[in-house]
Amino acid sequence: MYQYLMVGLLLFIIGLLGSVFVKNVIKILISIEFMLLGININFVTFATYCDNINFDGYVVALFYIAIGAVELAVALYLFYLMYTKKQSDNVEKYTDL
Amino acid sequence: MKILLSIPFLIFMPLVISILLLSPLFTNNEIIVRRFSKSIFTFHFLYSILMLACFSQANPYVSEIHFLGMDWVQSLGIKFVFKIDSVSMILSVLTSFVFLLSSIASKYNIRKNHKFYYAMLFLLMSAILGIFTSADMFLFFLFWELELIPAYFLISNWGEDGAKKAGIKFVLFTFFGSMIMLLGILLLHYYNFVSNGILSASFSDIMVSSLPGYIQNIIAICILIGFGVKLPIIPLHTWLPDAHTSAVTPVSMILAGILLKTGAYGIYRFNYLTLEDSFKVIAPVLAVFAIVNIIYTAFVAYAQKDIKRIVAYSSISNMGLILLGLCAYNSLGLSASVFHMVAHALITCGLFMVAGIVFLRCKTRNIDEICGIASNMPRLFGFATLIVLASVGIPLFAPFVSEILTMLGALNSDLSDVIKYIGVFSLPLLILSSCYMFKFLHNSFTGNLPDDFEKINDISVHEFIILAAVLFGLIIFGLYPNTLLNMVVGG
Amino acid sequence: MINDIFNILLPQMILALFIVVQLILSMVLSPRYFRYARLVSIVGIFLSILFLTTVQVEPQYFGFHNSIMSDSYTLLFDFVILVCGFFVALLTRNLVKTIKRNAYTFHAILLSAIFGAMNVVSANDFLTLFISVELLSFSTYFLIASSKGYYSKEASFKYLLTSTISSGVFLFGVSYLYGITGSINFSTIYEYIVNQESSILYSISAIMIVLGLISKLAVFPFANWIIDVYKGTESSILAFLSTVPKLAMFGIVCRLLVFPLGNSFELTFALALSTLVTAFWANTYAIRENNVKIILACSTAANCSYALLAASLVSVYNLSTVIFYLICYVFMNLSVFAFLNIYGDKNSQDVNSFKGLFHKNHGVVGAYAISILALAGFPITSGFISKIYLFTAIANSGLIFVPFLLILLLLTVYALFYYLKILLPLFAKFSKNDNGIEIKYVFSQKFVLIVTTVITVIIGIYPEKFIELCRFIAYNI
Repeated sequence: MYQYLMVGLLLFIIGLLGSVFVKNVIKILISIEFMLLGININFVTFATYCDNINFDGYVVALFYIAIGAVELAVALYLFYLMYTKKQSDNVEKYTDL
Repeated sequence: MKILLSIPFLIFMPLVISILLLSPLFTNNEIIVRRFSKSIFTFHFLYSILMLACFSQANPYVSEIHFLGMDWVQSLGIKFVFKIDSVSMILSVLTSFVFLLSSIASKYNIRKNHKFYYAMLFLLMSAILGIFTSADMFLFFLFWELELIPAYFLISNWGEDGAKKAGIKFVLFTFFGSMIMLLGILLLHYYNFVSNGILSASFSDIMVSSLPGYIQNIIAICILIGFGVKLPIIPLHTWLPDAHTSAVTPVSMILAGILLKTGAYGIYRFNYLTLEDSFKVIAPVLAVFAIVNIIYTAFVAYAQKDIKRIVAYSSISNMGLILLGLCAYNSLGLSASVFHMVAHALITCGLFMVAGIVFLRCKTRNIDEICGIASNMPRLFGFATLIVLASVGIPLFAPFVSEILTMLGALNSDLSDVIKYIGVFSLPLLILSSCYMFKFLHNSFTGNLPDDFEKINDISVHEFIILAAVLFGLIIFGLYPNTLLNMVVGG
Repeated sequence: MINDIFNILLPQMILALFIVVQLILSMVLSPRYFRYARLVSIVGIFLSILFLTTVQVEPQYFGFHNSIMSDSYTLLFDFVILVCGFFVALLTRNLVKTIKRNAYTFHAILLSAIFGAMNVVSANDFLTLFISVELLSFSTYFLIASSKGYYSKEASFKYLLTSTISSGVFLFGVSYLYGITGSINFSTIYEYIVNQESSILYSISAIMIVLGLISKLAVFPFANWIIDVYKGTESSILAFLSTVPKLAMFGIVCRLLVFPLGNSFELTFALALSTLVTAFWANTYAIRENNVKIILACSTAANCSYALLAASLVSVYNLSTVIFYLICYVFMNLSVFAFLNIYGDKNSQDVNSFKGLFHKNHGVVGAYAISILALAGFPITSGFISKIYLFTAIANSGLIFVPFLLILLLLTVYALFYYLKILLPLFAKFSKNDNGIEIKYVFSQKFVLIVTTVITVIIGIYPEKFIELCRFIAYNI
């Protein structure tokens, strides 16, 4: 069980640090996906080993995959709208506000 | 009789008038607005005199207002309750009087937005009367905050250049003080509830004797900082000269005459009466601050060139004396302190009026530029001399009595030897104040009249009435001080 | 299941029905009829408010296998959220005018955001909570991005990134809590942890859950978005953004702090610290700014952090103060943003461009001034009494928190400085040949401004009934 949790934690930390420190928009979105994966691994692990009644963890994981996909789609669309103006994928260009 | 003499009427009548004036239905005509306001102020003054006449020491006025059959905020124990004891009665009449004087003085000084100006005057009056009469801590705090809004507008809208800045400085300083005070009030409210089991913020329900000593001291210091800004106590005083100088004359009269007294009254109400034990501990330290106030600002006043600044600094000096009277913690000191509040209010009104008249005629307040106006304005010179003589503490005038009594009170204090020494050291006030006051009188009134000032006129009827009223008050209280003193000491 | 819907979910169902109606209308009607979109929303929200009476609250009702609950607490929050939504829908006139073709879609999204917010408050397990939060967030991204121009897109994108990361943090916390307790249901978790010693892992997961949730309140680790987002967003959407998500998040965070996460002292400490940092940051940041929207963003962050500090020191009394503070706060904010909406987003938002507005528009500018004064905490408005009530809560929590309170009070003085910065230019003089602008507005905008200001003043003058209500709610949680 602990090896799965370590993988989950590692993925989450990579994702979190990446989404904070990386400057490329696409890479930020990828980092967010890393976070999602780490969390899902956690949920599935816990559902398998700790929860013998409801298996809620699997349900959360399924929902989160779906919601994460939608999130990514929305993010990419909004980024596309911005990209048409600036033609750059560096976050530091998008500081008009 | 009882219905006629009600405190809510005293407080809320100005509020209602203020709302009436603010409403677009009321006429914009300058003369009507002015005469209407003046008559209301007169009526209010007469009414407060009537209340004073019917007032007896044994049963102070108390009145409670109920909303829909219950207290204002029951869950916090906040009641809408007012109480007038002897000190608040005196100060209420004083408030009414000073506002009447300043409304008379407004004729020559206010040139625009008359409706708004008088509405703000009434609002300020309502707030100040609320401070003097509320018998609940949070109600007190409400009026304390409410007073900021009209005071800001009065300072900044009709003042000269820099009045905006002075107004903001005044608001921020006072707000800072009142926030610290709020901390004290909240703690007092909570610990009173914990130790006595009464969820109430009324002064009568607060019994601090069961509180631990260090908490009492924390509360007392927090509250003192709040009032120290208003009073002002020396490191917190920097807003005062700016505000008083840049405000227009009638507003300066109110600020110095009444607004500063709210701070002194607050110390009396909270620290002197409610938090007695800790006041006994703090009083010697406070007395040191008082003497610093007295001596330091007297020197600063001597260095000033602007007439209004001289008067403003002299106010701080005099407030130190009032503080010292409270610190003595005996009935002599207290009565002297209240007496000096009245006397000082009259004096500053007079002095600011003189400064305002001079400024109106000469367009400058610098005592180096003004000289020799006595030859053109003999009547003003006479009044100015008498008021200055009164302010330096010449017998026959009220301040003499109060200054001497304050020192006696300090010398008789049982609290600590420090206060006795300070009582002795406060004597130089008389000398120092005569230094800067006579400097002002000598520089601006005597000498040769320059050509610029050839055409200035002597005082008009309105100004004459104000100065005469002030002088009358000073002499009456100087000759018969017992009228006031007995009233305070009895309580 | 059907029973559950009829017992507690009718208001939400009405909203869902109107979302569908809006979507159908957006396909059927030609863009000419864009005006009626607002009307449909208003009717929907109004009906939903009416149907709140059918919700069963006494005793607590748990529906859908314990995943949604309802009691008087959720009912109050639902009501306030719906009222805010009602006012926001009234304010959207100017925005809808610029996006005629998408008016119905826009309103469908607005309704679904309100739907999400209502569900957030009544969630009883972390999955429902997560889905409702995401529904709220998704709708909010689109609402922010809906106005024309590049800025709104950038604001929306920034909000999206922060929200996504914070919801990741939230879910990570949930996953550990799930691991510890074996359940994602609040009641089960509470039963489990109430008999246990609090462990480090439990505290960490609790902190992550709460920090993830309060990113919507702009509290410290995820606070910076608020400035950019507020600057780039249309004022009617701001009226939404500064009220509905805040209410929803406070609703759920208070419940979490009382029940499933109530066993962790570290959480209290972390929250108190992060709220203090936020309050300090927001107040000091706002002083340097001249843009009204940014100043209001900072004031929002600061106000939320005051309330959150009181909420983090969990007690029933504190809870009632927080609820009361929130109710007062949303009405003040609605009134402020209603004025900004009247003033128009195309005009410069610099404080000096508001110069002298008072002289020609006594009514609306007066109401605006009253609500700014209320935010600053002056008497006769609800701001005064709600601040005092909130601060009594912190003062009552013990002598350790007195320094916290002192800092908050000093920050309030700071805050007054920037509120004055907004307020004073309104009354300033202008030069002789310029007579000031007369603002044009329609009835609905004026209605929102006046009603919210009147509510602010009424609560300020006679708060007793509202406080009693809040106490009742807090004792029944």
